[in-house]
Amino acid sequence: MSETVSSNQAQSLAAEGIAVQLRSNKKIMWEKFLQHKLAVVASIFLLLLATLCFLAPVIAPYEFDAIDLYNIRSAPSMKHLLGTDALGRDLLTRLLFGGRISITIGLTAALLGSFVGTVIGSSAGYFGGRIDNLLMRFTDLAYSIPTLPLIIVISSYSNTQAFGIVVIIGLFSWMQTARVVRGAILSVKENEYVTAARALGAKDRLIILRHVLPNISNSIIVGATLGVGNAIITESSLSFLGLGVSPPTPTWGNMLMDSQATMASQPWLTVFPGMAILLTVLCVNFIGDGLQDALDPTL
Amino acid sequence: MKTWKIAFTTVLLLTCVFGMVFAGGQKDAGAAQSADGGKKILYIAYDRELDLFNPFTSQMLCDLQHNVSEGLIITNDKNEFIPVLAKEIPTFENGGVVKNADGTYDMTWHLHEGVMWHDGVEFTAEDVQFTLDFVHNTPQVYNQSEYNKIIKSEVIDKYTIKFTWDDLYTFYPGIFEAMLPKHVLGHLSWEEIARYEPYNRGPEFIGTGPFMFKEWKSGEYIRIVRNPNYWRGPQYPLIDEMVWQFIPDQTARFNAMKSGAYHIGQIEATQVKNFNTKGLHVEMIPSNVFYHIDLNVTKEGGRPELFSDVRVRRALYSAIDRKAIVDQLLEGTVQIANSPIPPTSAYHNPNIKAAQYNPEEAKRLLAEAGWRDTNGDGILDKDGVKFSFTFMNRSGRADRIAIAQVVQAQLKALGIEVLMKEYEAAAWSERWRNSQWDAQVGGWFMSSDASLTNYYHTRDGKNGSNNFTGMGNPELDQLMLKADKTLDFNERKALLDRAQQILADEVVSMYLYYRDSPWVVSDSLVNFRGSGTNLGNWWNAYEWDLK
Amino acid sequence: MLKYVIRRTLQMIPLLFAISVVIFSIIQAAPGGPEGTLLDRGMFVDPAAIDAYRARLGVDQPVYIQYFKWVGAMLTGDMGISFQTQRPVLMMILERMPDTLRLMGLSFIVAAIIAIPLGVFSAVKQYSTFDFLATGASFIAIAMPVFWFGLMMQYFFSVKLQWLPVAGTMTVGVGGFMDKLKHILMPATVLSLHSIAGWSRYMRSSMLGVLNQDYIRTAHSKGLEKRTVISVHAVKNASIPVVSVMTLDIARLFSGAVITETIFGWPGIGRMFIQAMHARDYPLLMGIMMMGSTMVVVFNLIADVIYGWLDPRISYE
Repeated sequence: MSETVSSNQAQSLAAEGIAVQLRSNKKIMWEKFLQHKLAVVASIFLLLLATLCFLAPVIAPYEFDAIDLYNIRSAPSMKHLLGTDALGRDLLTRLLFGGRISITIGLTAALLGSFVGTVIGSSAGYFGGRIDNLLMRFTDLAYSIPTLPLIIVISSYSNTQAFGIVVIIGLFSWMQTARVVRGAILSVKENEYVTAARALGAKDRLIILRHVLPNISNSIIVGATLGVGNAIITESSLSFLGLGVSPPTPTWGNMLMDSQATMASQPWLTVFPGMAILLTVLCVNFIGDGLQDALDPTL
Repeated sequence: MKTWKIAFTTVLLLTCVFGMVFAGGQKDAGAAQSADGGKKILYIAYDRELDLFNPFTSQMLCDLQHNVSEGLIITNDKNEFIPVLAKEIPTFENGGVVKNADGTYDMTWHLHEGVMWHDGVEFTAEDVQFTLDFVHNTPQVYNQSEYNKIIKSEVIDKYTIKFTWDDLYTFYPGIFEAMLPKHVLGHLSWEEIARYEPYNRGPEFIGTGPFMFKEWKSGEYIRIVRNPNYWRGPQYPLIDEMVWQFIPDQTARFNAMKSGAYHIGQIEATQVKNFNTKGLHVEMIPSNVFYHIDLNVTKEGGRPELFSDVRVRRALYSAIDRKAIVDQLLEGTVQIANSPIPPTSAYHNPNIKAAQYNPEEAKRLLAEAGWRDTNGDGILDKDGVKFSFTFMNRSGRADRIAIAQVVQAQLKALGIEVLMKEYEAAAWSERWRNSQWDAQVGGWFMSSDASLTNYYHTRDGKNGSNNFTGMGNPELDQLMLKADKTLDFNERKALLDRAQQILADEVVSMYLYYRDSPWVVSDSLVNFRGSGTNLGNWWNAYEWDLK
Repeated sequence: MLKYVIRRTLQMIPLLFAISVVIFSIIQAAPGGPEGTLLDRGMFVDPAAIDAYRARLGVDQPVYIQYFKWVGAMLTGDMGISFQTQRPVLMMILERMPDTLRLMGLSFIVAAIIAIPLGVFSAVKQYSTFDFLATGASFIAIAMPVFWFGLMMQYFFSVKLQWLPVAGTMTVGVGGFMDKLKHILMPATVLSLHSIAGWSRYMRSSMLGVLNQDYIRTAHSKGLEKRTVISVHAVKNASIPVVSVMTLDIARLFSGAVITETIFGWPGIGRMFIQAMHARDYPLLMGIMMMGSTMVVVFNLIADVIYGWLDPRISYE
């Protein structure tokens, strides 16, 4: 066939075919995702949780900084459904407000991280040579930048510490994905179907999207799901070092940090934020599973 | 089915994890046993690692060093200076201090005879002279300026040295808390001494103290062992060895103390209630630390438009419920403060009239000063200025940040907006020194001589060099300077009593509480008598014993 | 191949220079200076003493001069003198190395030994009880901050059961293998848990991907025993993503783990780094971070070499 048509024609044919395929694939993917019940339940739950958190100013029973020193570390009751913290603040309220930052940090880091990481990693892996070398050395450089001093610098020049932390955790979580994607692509691009598509003259962008990325989507999705948990936990670790989101603004991370001293005597202070993080991580993972099934070209 | 399986296993695992922690009773913690039979080893859970041994160039409190390197004096559990290597502290009464015709003062120290450095060389007045020379020539000694007031020194004989001071100072018995060995360091330049590894880190760190250096494992522990030739007599010290283990995290240190593996360690006020381990008890050691909130009234970096009116400052103080902070937040482990001089000092004034918690009075004062909510946004304003300021918090100082949050909430009720901004240690101290802040919660050491000048004297290049709040009251300045040069107790007490009242009236610093430090101490440790000064708890370690 | 390694090694020199400029700028941009520690006594400090201190350390000079001085010394192999301790930076780093590597290395090896089989079996026996247990456990591990897990272990094993010591690398003055093992057990567990969770997830998913590939199905249908198929073909091919992640983590071994070290009083590099940062101890900070960066660069090169071994089709240009 390639003997009878010009290369230009072949290219346009190939591209057209791919475009058609992509369109129909979207529908198939969506159906596949819906088949994954757990993923659907998790998506709905996460959406609900996020909505509740972002509606916190409206629905929260108290203000997040309403201190009551004569009612500190009280156990869950009708008045305070989840109890109160070390300064007598309502834990449920703080959990809702805290979710705004924690979910933002988690999702921003995961989305930004996997997007930037995938773009850089796949370009480097697919094109190879100079581009690969340049992009990967840039990745090495970014990986070498110490985040803790950077957080000190940024938070001293911005008024909202939370913003600086979201940005830093988000901007510095792509390197691992980039290396993973590149490594996987180095192998995948040697497969026959990629070579064939190339020989047919298909556009690079389309080859990457159609033939290469679906084959490594597993790793990208795992990276993204791990990224959500990691980012939320990183914020908590920053609080441990005194560099996290500063009080009285709550995050799940700093609530967990504040509760560490009393986790044996007042366990609810620890259990609720811990459960919130765990549930988020679980949901994101199930959604990831669903996506994986949906994207997997071999199923 | 899959959903249930995953949910079920996760819950199961989670139950196991939590079960681990909350189930079961606690074993009785026997206090640490000495490692090899017969030897009495004291295990200390210490909150930080030292930077270096040299007590003059170290940037940390030197409670460890004083077990090895003794000085002319130390402070005891009653906040008094007591002689160590000196026979007595020179005063006018005992003839040790004499006024000269030119207005200078001669002070003569008589040293104990036959005191040996750990290497067997005798300690003499030459070593005192050498130590003074080192401090005079080494700018990073934190209180060098105090030593700089000694304008002349003279070794009279082997056991006598005379200092000539340019004037009379109450802090004079409070310096020379350690000694440098001339025969070890004498061949080096001053700069070389500051960098001299064998002294800073170990083998050549010698003193005349009850314990000798044995080992420093970087980042982990320091060991010091019994000095068999201690000058107080062969029976001292009673303990064979001390191990200082560095456990910086407060919860980990609390766990360490509960595990019973250590004899002594500091815990937090909020942990006191939960400490009930057999064989150990908590001692509340009154310290010289006073907690307070500073308001910045300087024109350069401060908020004079808010704080320059004394009525406003008094209103803020009246709005703070100190009793709630002390009783609830700190669980009654500390005492309410009205002045910077704590009850550990003889100069503490218990009769100060200070603003007490009274939100109504606070509202009235604010209205009187012209602060009203004219635009209905819930925040007071005056001449188009919002009553809004920022607490500068130092990151990691959880106790102070908690107080700032409480004050924030209490002031919010009055229509005052308080913002919070956290700075990491070095950034914090830069802003603090440059007065680039609005308000902050501080916890400072009051020196044993209770001199207020450095903190509160008008900053004029000579005095008040640590006054970053912009405090300036001519009467107060006079009183403090006079007090610094008055050695007679009653006369000085009258001056400082008045000074403390003026500070309470000025309310540039709002005093919150005096800290009592909770120390967990083993029941088997004998003769432990904690001291709340900056020289620490180990002042009488030579007579400690483990039973 | 050798040519490739040599070329990459040569490229490291300008790269590390660039990294050093970036790092130096960042730490200098952070407000505050080393004189901040002078105030840590919470007592009076003479401002003149602060100025003298700055001058003595040379931090009163412009940043670029400080940088050139640092680079100049570095090129002659001198990493400088720490501001806080007055000791050579190289000595301070080397002193902490054995304990850092012991803890980090052990947890790395344990994690690798557990995570890879865990991931492989989870994939092979997808949706089995084993898979669910492994999945549930890794979610919990991912959702648990290190400090929280560490303190909880301490509470259980040191306070309640009194089996394991809270802090340090050994009982002072005793030592011995069993004693050291008891001390390293908790910190190593804490550190490896997170790696196990992450790596096994990567391994599982990429293994699932490979198992569904045509050639594996073919190999299987050709009658090759399932075990052989898994070990020879699939695992090797599925390891590329895990290798990418693991090599980056090896590079981190040399930088220590701040939080675990803080909680278990472990004398590692991580804690030294945090202390140096709070004290703005520029020479020590630069020393630790440049070492870390060098490791990142070196191990990424090693990763690239390993790719070629795992999949011989990958070529070196």
